[in-house]
Amino acid sequence: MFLQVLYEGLTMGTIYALLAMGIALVWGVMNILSFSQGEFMMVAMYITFFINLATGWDPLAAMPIVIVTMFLFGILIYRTIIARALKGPVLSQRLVTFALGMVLTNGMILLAGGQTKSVPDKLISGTISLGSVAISKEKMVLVVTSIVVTGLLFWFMNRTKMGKAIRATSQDKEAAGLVGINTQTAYMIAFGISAAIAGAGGCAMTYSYYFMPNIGTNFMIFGFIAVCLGGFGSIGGAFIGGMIMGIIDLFTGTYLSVSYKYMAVSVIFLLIVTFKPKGLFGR
Amino acid sequence: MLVVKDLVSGYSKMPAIHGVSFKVEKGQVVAILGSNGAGKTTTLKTVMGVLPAMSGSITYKGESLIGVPSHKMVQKGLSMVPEGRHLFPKMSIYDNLMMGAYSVKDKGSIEKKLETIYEIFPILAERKAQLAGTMSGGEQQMVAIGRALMCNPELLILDEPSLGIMPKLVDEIFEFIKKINKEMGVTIVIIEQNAEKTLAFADYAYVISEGQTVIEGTGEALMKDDQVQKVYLGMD
Amino acid sequence: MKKLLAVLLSVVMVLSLAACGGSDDKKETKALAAIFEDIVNNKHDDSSLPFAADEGLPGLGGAKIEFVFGDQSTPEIALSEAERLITEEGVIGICGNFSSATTKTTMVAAEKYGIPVITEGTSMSLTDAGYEYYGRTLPGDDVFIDNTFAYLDYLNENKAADIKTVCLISEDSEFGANIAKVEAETAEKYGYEVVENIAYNKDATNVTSEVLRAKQADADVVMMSSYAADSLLFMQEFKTQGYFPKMLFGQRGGFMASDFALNLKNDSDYVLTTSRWNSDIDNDATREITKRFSDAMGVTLIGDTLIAGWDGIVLAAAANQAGSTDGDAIRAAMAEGVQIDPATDPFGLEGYKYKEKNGQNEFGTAIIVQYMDSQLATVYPEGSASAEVQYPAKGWSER
Repeated sequence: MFLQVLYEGLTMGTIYALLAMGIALVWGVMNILSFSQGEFMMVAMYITFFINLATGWDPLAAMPIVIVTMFLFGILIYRTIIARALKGPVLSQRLVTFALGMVLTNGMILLAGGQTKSVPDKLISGTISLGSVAISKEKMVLVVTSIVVTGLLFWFMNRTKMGKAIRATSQDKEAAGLVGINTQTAYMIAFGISAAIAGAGGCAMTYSYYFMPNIGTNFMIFGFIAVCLGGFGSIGGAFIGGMIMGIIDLFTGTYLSVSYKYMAVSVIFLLIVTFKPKGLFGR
Repeated sequence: MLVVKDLVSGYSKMPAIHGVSFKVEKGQVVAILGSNGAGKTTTLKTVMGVLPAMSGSITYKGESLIGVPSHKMVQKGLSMVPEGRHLFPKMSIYDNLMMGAYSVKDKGSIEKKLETIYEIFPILAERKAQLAGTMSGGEQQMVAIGRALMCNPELLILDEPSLGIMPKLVDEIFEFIKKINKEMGVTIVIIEQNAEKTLAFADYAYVISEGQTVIEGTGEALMKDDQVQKVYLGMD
Repeated sequence: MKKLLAVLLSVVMVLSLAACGGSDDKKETKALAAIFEDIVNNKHDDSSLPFAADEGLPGLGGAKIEFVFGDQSTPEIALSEAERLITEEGVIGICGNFSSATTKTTMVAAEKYGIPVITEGTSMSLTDAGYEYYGRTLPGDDVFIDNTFAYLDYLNENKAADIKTVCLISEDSEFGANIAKVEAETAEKYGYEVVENIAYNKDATNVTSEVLRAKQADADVVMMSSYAADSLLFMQEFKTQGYFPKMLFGQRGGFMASDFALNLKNDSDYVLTTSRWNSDIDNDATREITKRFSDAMGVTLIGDTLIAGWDGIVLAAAANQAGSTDGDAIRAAMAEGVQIDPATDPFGLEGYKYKEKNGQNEFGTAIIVQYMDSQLATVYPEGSASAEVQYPAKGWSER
C-alpha cells in the first residue's frame, strides 16, 4: 500500500511539476502570473483529441504536432495579448492570463461542447504488477513524458544559446539587452516554450484522463502552490515543488482523509507564505 | 567616432537631460563627470538605446543611432558596462563572459578573446565556474568589464566602475581600464564621480550639470580649473 | 369560448448540465413535447399512449394541449420564466425542472399563483418544504436509496448474493453529503455494514487516494453518487488499480449520463444504477414512445427527457379528470389519484397519487438498470426487467 501511494503520488507530482515549471518559466522571465497554464493544458488535450478523431493517431504519435502547435499558439498569445499587457499597468499584467483562461475554457465549450471527452484505444494500456504495486502503463506514459520534458527543458535552458539568453533575460533584462540579446524575442520564446510544456503534458494526460473544458482550473491551484513551494522563478524548484505536492495529495488523501487533502495543501501554502515566502529553494 | 548633439532624454516623458553634447575621437579616453543626478547615466543609456531619445542626435561613425534598439548596439561595435555591474547572478563567470559574446558568430575569435580576458583578469580564469552573484564587488566589476569586452567593441562605455568597490581595488580597476585602452586599442567613455582619478588619465572630459554639458576640456586642463572642482565636482 | 378553455401546459426547458448529461436536452424535450401534443390533440387509433383515441381532452370538451417553453439555466432565470409562463402564457401547470435548485425558485411563483407543478428534482428538501402545489411522480433521493437497499435484500434472498458490507463514495457537496447520510441510515435500517464512507472533492484532479481506500476496504458493494466527469475518473482509476467490487452501484448522476458509456465503452459493464425509466422496459407504451422519438430525432430517448414530458401528460390528465383548468381543482385531482390506464403508461407505475402533505407520488418507484455490453438493461423490478442481473461482477483481468 505504502509503495503504491508513493508511486501514485510521484505520478500525480509529475503533472503538477509540468504545470509549475511552465508557470515558473513565465514568471521568472517576464513577471507574468500564468493563470492560463491549466487551460493551455486543456487546449492541448483537445488538440490531441481532434487529431485522434480526424486521423486515428495515438496521442504519442500526435505529441510532436501538439507540442509544436502549442508553441506557436503560445507565441500567438504572447504577440497579441501578453506583449501589449506588459506595456500596461501591473494589475492588468497580473490579471490578463486569468481572463485568457476563462476565454479559453468558454471558447472550448462553444467549440467542443461541455461533455466529457476521452481518446479511445490507446497504444499502450494495461497494468504491470510489481509485487504489491500496480503500475498503470497509461500513467507511465505521463511519468516518462514529464521526465523527458523536464530533461529537455533543463538541457535547453542550460546548454543552448537561446536557453541561456532566456535565463540571462530573466536575471537582468537591461544587461541582456546590452550584450545583444533581443529581450522581446526571449520573452516570446519563453512564453511559447511554457505553452509547449503544457502541450506535452496535456497530450500525455489524454492517456489517463477524461477531460472537459474546465479541467484546467482544478489543476491550477496545485500548480501555483508548487511554484510557491519551489520558489518563484526557479524551474528546478518548481519541479521539486510539484513532486512534493503530488506526494502530499496522495498521502493525506489515503492515510488521513480525502477531505483533508485540500486543507493540507492550503495549510502548506500558508506555512510557506508565512515562514518561507521565497519558497524552499528561493534565495 | 561618436558625436552626441543637443540630446534630450529621460524616463517616462520627463526629460532628465536637456541638451547634452559631446564628442569622442577614436582611441581616446573621454570622461563624463558630474555630481549625482546630473544626468550622466541617462545620457549614456540613451546612447546605448536603453532609453529612447526625445530629441537631438547621436551619430556613430557617421551613422545615426536614434531608434536603434539596445541589443543591436554590440553589432555596431558599442558595448557598455552598466552602473552596478548588472551581472547575471545565477550564471557562472564563464557563462557571464560567454553571454557577452552573444552576438559574435565566429567561435574561434570568442576563444581568443576569452584568453585575452583571462590574461588581463587571471582571477576570472581561476573562478570561472563560480556563480557571479557570489563574488565580491571588485571581482564582479572585472566580470562586467570582461563581459563587455567579449563582443570585440570599438567603443566601451563604463558607468561608474569604481562604485561600491574597496578603495584599494579601485586603482587596480583603473589600471585595467588604461590597459584596455592602450593595449587593446578600445576607445573608452567613462562616467565617474571619482573625478580626480578619472581626470588623471582621461584625454578629454565633459562636465554635466542639471542635464546639460557645462564645461569641457582636456583632463589636465579641468584638473587645474578650481571653479570646476568646487562647483561641479564637489572637490576641496 | 373553446379557445379560452384551451389547455396550455408548459415544459420548462432543461439546461442545467449538472442534473443531466447531454447538451441537446432542450431540442429533445421539444421533440418529445411535439409527439405528446400530436397524440393528445389528434385521433390515433393505432397508439397505446394516453388520450390517443380522442381529439383533445374529453373531460374539457376536447380542449387541445400545448407545451410552452421557458428557460431554466439558473435558479433566478427559472423564477422569472415561471412568472412569465403563468401570467403571460396562462399555463395550467409547470413540469420539466430537473435541478432541485431551479424547482425551488419555480415553486415561489407557483405557490403565489396557485399553479400546480410536477417535476423530478430528487432532493428531499423539495418534499420537506411544505409546498401546496408541488408534485413528484418518481422517487426522491430517499426512495431511490431505499429501493437500492431493498434490491440488495432481494439479491440476498433470491440469488444467494451474500452481500454484507457497503462502501460509500460521494461528492462532498450538499447533494453528495445528503445522499451519503441517507445511505448510511438506510444501510443501518436494512442491516448492512458501512465499512468505508468517502467524501471526495468534486473539483478533484485525481481520485487515486479515494480508490485506494475503497480497494483497501474491499466491501461487497461500492455505492457512489457522482456527476459525469467524476464517475469517469473513478472508473478509470478503478481499472488502473485493478479493483472492481462484486457490485458497483451508482446513484444516477454521472452513471446515467450518455457520456458514461460513450467514453468507457465496455469498461462500463457490470455497473448498476437506479433509474426512472429505461428504453428496454417491457411494455407497449414504452415501445411506442421510444420508436416515435427515435424516428423523429434519430437518437435514443432517455428517461430524464421522457419524464419531463410525461409529467405534463399527468397534469393534463389531472385537469381532464377535474374537468377544470383551475389550479386547486387540478391539485385536488392529483391528491385523490390521477387515473392513467396502466396499458398507456411507459413507466408501469401502480398509480399517480400525490400526497397532500408533501407532493410525493405514493406509487413512485425506481427501476434498477445495469450496463451490459455498454448498454443499459433493466434488471429490476422483475415485471419490467429485460435481462438477468450479472452478479458478481467479473474483475478487470477476467473480462
